[in-house]
Amino acid sequence: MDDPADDALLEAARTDRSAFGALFDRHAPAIYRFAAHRVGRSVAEDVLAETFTRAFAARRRAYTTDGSLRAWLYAIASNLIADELRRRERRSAAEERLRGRGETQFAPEEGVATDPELLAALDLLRDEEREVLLLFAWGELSYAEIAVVTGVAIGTVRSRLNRARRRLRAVLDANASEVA
Amino acid sequence: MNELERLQAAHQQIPDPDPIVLSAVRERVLAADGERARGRDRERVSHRGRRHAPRTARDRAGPRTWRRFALAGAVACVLAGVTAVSIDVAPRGPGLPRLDTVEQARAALAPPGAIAHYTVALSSDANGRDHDPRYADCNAGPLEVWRAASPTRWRAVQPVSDNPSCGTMDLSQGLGPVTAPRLEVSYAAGRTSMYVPGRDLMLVIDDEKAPADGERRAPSSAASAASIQLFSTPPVRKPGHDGAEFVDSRPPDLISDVEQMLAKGELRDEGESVRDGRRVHVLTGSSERGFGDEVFERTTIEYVTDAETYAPISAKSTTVMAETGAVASTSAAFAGYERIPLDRDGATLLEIQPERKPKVIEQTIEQIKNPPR
Repeated sequence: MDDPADDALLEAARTDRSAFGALFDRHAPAIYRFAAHRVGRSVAEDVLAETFTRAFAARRRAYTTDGSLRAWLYAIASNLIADELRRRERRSAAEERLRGRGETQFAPEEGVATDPELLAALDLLRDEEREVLLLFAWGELSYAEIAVVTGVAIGTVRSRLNRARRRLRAVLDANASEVA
Repeated sequence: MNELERLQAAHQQIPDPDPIVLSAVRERVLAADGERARGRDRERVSHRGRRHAPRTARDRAGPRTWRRFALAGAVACVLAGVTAVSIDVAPRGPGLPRLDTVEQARAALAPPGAIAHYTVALSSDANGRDHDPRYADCNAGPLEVWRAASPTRWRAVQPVSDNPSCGTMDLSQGLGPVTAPRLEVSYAAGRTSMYVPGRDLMLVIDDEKAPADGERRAPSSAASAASIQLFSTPPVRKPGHDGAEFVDSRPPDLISDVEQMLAKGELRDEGESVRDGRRVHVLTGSSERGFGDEVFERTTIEYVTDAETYAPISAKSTTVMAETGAVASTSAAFAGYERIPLDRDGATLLEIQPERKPKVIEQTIEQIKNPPR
């Protein structure tokens, strides 16, 4: 038997907490990993908790269309991640004056093994392009879901994704040329 | 490896969350009555606010055990205080879980994954028709409705007066006026079933052109015929274009009109107000019918919902005929609204459960429209 759809679980969650628990089990690991890659594992735990706390608080009033619950969760998480990054940016601006360049958009500490060159290249993208690219590549969201998260039209998602990929490719290719 | 594959490969290196942490977060989220917490915490934010905002990575560079302890504290803060910082829980954008009044009102009438159950008392005043003494007691009681969406399924029970003038089944192949205490109608997958307890008779109208969600008034649809019979009490008979007797489509199927206008965004939120001491949202809209540039009639609809739950309270449709100025109105008063889980037990509420095995008559919509003489 198929698992209940997100919509059905969300509806059931209005009165049944265990249904919301099922939604948590279904989506929490992916949300956490998405956040961990952006802000590090420890902050990702807070992002995860806050994302689902907000969703839980809104469960009686929210409903989804076209299976967009996942997009809704990513939208909440993305807002929290953006808040955290803005806080870091403000702090970095002060620190930069003292010791050069501050933190990048990506500072996953505590054993998150990633690709430093790739992260540095991502840091050079425009915010809106990077957001679309990461929702696509890391969140594995569809164009329609990304449109929901970012609040732009699907066509805009496509064009931003295309530009982001081209820019990223160009930076990575340039780095490779320098090494060669 | 292209840039996308490289990104995905990098993401694969992010480990899954610690199951212990995940479990702790889950328990704490579910232990909270989030909405109550939010209400309480709004009062506290001005005093506590930023102090409880999520900490930065630099703030939490201590040992992992400490961090777990801190996480528990952070979660507690989330439940007790930080949520106050998050004023807007619903990010805006196309297709998002929308919290605006129109969408909430639509969801209340057709909740996903649940059954909307309510009673609705309908009354009409179409050029004095309701004042005809023959029909004075036709509305023997409110219509009781169970309705699910995606796909549309519903069952409705209409208490029926024993006044023979109020019969409805007679136009469905000369079955004679209904004298049973109630009439049940259900709709699913293009099939509309009508059942009269005590008569052991089930009329099934099969229409392969049955309308999709929200279009139950589509012409030539079985559901339309059923809903007209349900909602137009007493039914109006007049010759159709082909001269055959059929039901008139007025007074309008008010609930369907409201549903369609909500779905199309044609009802606008007029804001919150108080009616009969109750906080409500009022939504209004209008439509015109005509041909070319000529408008035959203008209809305005007012739909009222509860301000908190968006449960339907009342609806009123007023139609003015452009040529004559005649006014016809239909009003609906809802009561007892609730949502029932659409599980196995709930699904049985959407189907007619005959008291005894009935005789089943199946007909097409064309046979209904053109009964044998």
